[in-house]
Amino acid sequence: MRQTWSSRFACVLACLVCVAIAPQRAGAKLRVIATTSDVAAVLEAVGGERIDLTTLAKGYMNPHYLEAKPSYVAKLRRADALAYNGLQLEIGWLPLILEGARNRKIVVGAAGHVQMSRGLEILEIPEGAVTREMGDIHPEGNPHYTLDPRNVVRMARTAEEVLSQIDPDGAATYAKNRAAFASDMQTAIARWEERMRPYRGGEVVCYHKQWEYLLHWLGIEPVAYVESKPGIPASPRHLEQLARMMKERRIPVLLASSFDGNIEHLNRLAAGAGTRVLVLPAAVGGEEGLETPLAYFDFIVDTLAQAFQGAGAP
Amino acid sequence: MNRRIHMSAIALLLLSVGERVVHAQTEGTATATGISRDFNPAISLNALFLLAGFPGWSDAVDRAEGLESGARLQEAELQFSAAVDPYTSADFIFSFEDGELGIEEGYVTSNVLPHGVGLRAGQMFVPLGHENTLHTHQLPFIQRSLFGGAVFGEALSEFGAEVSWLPATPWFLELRGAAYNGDDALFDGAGDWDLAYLTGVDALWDVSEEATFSLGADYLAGPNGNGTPDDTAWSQLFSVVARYKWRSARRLRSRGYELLAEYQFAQRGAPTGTPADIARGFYALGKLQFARRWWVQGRFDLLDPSAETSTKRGAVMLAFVPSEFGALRFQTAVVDAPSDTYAELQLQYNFTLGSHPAHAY
Repeated sequence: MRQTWSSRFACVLACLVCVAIAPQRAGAKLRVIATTSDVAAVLEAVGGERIDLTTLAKGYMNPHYLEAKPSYVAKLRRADALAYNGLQLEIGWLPLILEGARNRKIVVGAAGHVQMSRGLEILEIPEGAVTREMGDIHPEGNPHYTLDPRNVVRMARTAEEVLSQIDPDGAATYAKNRAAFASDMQTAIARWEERMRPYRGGEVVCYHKQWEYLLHWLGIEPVAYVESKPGIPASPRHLEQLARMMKERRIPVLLASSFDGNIEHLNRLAAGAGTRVLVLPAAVGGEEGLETPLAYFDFIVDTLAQAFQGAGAP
Repeated sequence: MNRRIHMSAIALLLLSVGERVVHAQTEGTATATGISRDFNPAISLNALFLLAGFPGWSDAVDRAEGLESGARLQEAELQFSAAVDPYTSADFIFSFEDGELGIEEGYVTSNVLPHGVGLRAGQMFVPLGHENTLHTHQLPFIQRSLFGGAVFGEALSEFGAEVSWLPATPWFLELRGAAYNGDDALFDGAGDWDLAYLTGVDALWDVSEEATFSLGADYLAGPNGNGTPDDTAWSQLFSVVARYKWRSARRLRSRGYELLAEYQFAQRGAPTGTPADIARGFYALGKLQFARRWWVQGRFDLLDPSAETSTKRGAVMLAFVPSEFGALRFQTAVVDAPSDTYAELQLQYNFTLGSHPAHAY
């Protein structure tokens, strides 16, 4: 019996060794991990059929607060590339799983380690000392840059460069996919800008410092936040002042995302001021049917335009 | 104690070197070696303030359990973490407790070897089960389990080398082996080169997008001083852990729960024919986050469940967590010990300064 168990153990161990050291079969798809659904959407558009894509934070998950699940470590262990948002959006979990994965293809400095924010204009980089007294502040700047569709087009260029470097045989495909994606997006961006043109210069209140890139692109100003500091729930006094300000300035829209606080609470806050609460999906895939950047921004722009129009804005 | 004194000196040396670096920067005397804050390690401090009371307190309990009522600094931990070079990183964790500065862990790690192999060497918490890998500020309750407290006091920490392997499997699987000096009292009296050896495995599966189930087992054994040249006596430790964890995908920040159970066993062996010292422990705990800033938790804890000297403890905790960097925790417990039955009331403020690495899952 003892020999039987020893033999079984040896067989299992031998199988694991084979799995661990077996070379990847020729012609296999690139295994790419995207930390967020926005990053994944760009990679999917550029990589197409040549990549096997896994998304860690789905569009309905708050990427700040994912946990470093060992199952993510197992995914990263077998990856050819890791593409992430960066600017410390994933600081609470990505370093742990990246270190745990022990994968030389995706460690910092490797070709497969891709921070998608590179080359982009980053907003709200703090000046001077940064302390936790300021709330959940990001020392490298606001990380929600994927909410500007022009950045999404630039990210596609990064995706093409990286995928072509790792998989030179697919370079022509990646270039073709990127060009088609960029063309579709540029056409749509012109349409979205036209749709929102009447509302440039408008004012909104936001729950969290999440929508800066979207509003910056559309020329709309976020004049206040429900959170008293980033990531810190508001005090009753702050809410009282906010409600008064929204009423005085006739703020048409309060922007929140689906994982921001208690929506009923926001509705009560806004009701007295005549402000409409818009709860928008924070990322591609945040709601069913919004699985591509085109569909996502179509929905966001359309919903915003309707809200401004309904509020009597020009 | 000697190690504590030595490590205090090392810590002071590190701090004084840090001070010199700061002076160099402020005086603009950076040298060609490139002294710069850019390469400073991440530094953090965890502190635990504790207010404790024991209704029905007796001196017998005081002596038996080593508990203290009143307010005090339960512990402060200072951690330094940085990459040494592209191949290795290092972590050092010093603790200040009961007026003494000591080292809890100080190790180097290499995770860039091929085929998912990882290496770690230095002074470290032995990865024996779940609880033993946790520092005091990470403990789910204010004290360690009855077994952990009785057998190790703090966590079992040893100097040694660990090798672990992560096969490229679709689920998480880690196999590990290690050799340690065997400095703990469990191995006292063994020769200088009589090492303690560990083997262990951890596996985790995604039950769904929101839930995971994990199993782990570890076995540590090494000779102790009870034996003779012809009849070696071994100390053996064993732990098995099962854990189920759920977190809402749409409300990651405010809804989750966890169920965890761990069985622990320790035996300090003796020569043939002499009874060994044996301790067994078991605890099961549950944690529920019911709002963004609120947790409620419970733990049932047993030490030597089958012996006449069995001790039981039931604890309930309410935690208010205003941010990721601070928590106020109130715990009440009833302890049924051989000498007495008594209650514990404790209030702890647990906070972090600086750049502290994220905690493992």
